[in-house]
Amino acid sequence: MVFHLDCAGRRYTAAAEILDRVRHQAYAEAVGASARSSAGFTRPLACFAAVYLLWPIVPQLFQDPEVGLDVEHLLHGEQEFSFERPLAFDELITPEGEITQVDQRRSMVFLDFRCQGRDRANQVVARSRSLFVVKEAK
Amino acid sequence: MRESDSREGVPPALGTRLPERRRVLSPQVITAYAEASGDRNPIHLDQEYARRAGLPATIAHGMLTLGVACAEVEAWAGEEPWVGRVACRFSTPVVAGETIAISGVVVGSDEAAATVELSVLISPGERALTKARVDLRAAGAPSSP
Repeated sequence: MVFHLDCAGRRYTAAAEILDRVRHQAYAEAVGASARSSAGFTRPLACFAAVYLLWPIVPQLFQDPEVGLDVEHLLHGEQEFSFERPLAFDELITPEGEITQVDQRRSMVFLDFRCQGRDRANQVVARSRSLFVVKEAK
Repeated sequence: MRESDSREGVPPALGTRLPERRRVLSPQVITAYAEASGDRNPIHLDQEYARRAGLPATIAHGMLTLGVACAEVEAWAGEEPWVGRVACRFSTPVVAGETIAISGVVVGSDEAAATVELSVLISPGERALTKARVDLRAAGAPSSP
């Protein structure tokens, strides 16, 4: 697959995700947080955003033939999440993503990808910025 | 500097230290994270695929490493305050079975917010994450300025 340097600006959307306690419990156990929280969580862990903000969207980017990412040589370089307010269980979040910047230097591709999540009132409540790096770009 | 002094309801004070915690990122933990997160990239799950990619074995998701570290901060800080921002650079892949050591220090703090700078090491001097920070906000405080 050939990488398309002109892919900046491509957008992706996915179905709304509910921040449900069952999925959160599985996430909390995986990151080792559940053992310390026998009383339960009053709100979702911050990096649970990976579940409702990133992974409904990022596979679309990875599989997009109009981008042509060499996924076998892809590295997750940087990650940032930010929140407008504390999120709550049972909220409905609709994720969307956009390629905001693409650079190619010394046969490496640097792709800046931003996602945001909107609540039922269509307000942006969570954001993410990911830097993906592809080594030895084809 | 004070040790592990997280005050109720407000962000921890400048200089407060997050005590070191250790966590093994075993293949079982990585598989559990893949299932929970939906990130089933074979580089985390398939030994042969990982070796073809030039790695010694499967590696932990960067987001697993960050998730473990951030959850440590949240457990330490208590029910309040809340996380307004978390960020890092993934520096060195954590190979399945390796142990990460997480510690931190509050490098900025006022009544409304605090910034915890994290150290996430695979071994002394070998950082899994760099520029790792968690911004905490007091209950009722606005998001990042």
